[in-house]
Amino acid sequence: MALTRLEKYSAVAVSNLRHNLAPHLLLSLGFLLLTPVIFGVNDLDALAAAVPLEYFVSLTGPILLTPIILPEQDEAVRDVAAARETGLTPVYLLRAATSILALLCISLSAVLMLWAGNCQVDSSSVLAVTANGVFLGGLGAFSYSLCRNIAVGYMIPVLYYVLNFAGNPQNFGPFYLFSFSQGQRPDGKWVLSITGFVLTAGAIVVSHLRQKLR
Amino acid sequence: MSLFLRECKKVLLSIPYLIFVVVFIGFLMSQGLCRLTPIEEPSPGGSYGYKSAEIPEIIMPAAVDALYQNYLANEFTAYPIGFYKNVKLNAGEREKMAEILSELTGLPVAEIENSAGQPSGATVQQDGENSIQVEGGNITENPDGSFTVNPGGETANAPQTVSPAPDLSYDRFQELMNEADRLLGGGSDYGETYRTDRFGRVPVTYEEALAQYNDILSLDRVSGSYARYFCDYSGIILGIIPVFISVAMGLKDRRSGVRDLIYARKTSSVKIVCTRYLAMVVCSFLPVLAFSGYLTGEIFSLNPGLSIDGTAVFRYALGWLLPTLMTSLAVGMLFTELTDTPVAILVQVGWFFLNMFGSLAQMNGGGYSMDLIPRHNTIGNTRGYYDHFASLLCNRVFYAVLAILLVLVTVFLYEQKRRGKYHGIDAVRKIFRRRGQQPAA
Repeated sequence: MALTRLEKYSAVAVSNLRHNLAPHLLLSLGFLLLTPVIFGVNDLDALAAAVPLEYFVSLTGPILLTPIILPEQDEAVRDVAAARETGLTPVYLLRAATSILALLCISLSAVLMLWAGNCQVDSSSVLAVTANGVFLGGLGAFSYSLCRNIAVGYMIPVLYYVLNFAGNPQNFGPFYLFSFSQGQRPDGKWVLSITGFVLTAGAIVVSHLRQKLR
Repeated sequence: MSLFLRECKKVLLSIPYLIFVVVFIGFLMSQGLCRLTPIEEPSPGGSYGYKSAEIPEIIMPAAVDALYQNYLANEFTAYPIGFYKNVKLNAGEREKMAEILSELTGLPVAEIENSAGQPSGATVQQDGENSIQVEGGNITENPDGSFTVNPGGETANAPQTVSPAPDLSYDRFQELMNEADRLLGGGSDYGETYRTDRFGRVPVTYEEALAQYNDILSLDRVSGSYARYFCDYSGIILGIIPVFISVAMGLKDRRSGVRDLIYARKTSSVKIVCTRYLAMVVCSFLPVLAFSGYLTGEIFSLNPGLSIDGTAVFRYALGWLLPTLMTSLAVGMLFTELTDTPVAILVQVGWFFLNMFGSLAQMNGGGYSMDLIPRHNTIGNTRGYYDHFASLLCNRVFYAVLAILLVLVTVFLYEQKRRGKYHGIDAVRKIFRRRGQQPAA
């Protein structure tokens, strides 16, 4: 009996969660659990509360988003998957959506943890950490889609993070990762978020084009 | 072509390596390593900056009063790994802190405990409507509902500032401050790490500035001071980016499907792994050597007429930077061979993170400890470098030896894989695979 579209994509989502996303999600949860160990999470003002979020929790973005097209790194697997009636592009979109949802849950959990510790956090804190994560993750996914080299996929977001850390904030403008903890308004985080989404979409487009051009 | 040259070619043409070279050079230039200033003799009457000095007469009053003010507000700042942490003490801890402050100031414990949160005036409100406000008095409520005001005599008002007790020795002061720091969880301004820097800032005198200048000329022969500054910034990149090169090289065989082919060759595992490692070390060190040459030329052109050591930058690069590079590459090789995944990146990023934020108190050099990336973010502090040279030497030798040990473990793992006794991540997946479940494609 043929599966309905909903059944088909539900099966894809479950399979992705179990076989692909699970180890990365576990790593991200590890980051979340390490946050109160490394940083203080009690009685922090708004600026201090933004530090663990922007500097640490947002690193779960590259962990969750970079590998959305990693399962098809093997050419033989890619060819088999591409030959199926269900195209790879909807699968990639589903993976990206799942990863971003997971990132949002991690971000929300981190903010709730700080809130429970009587820290000055609000919805803009969730935006700050999610924006950083989506941007860094989008960078990673896009880099991987271009080079098909997972080391490069993780290298670019880590490099961007290190340069933000060691460099002059003014050189990065609205793309500065640690603006919230420096006291700037969170408005700039929308730019990071949108750019992150565009980069993630770009990664899927590049993968689609590579497949078509082969 | 020999195996070494083939491996070098693989590394040199890989994308992570090309990115590494661009980032390394770009980062150093962005941090001003191409816009250095010449070494100039200080002139009398100028400003020569500040330094940290362990002068009890300056540190003790400042630290004691700061601790008292923090106690009144019950808000303490700590940097256990370089990040801001707000600490609030519970009742038991406040009691202990009050005892520490009592000994530090010579004030009774009761006075210090009562001072916290008590306003300097007193307000009485009756029936929620009328209120009487008394300044500087001590108000007590009588059993019949009336109030007694004691305007004169002894008051319970807290002192605004406090000073160290007259008979407090500097040694005992340090013990008490360390105890306070432990009570706060470590990393506070009152501990050994930050105390002198936070409370012992004094201006550098002309004589001290002149002495530093002479040290740069005589001990460093000019280029040594620039070399340490170069090593400080280079270490940041070498402590993290090379891991991507070794992860990429480590996963390349599996990705291109030639792993089994290589396993079947009669070349020994020692030769394969060590040749690959050596190729990565040599290729990754090339941009370091190239920039060292450029920096040496710049030093000569900036400081004509001074006696300059033409090899100092190269020697510093070899002794200071090479162990960091070796360790970063070895970690990448080991964890990639162990797991067949890029998890080495996470390990090295975590190590880098802790190193960078934990060394914020030693940015100006001298406190090298056992950091993977020793910091010395100043052109100068020659005395600090030479005074702590032994600890730096131990540090560098340790990491060089550690890197070699990690490579030897990698050789062992590689050999086990060739013999079919170890299968990397596949062995872990088998543990979690349920019986009868088809393995994922």
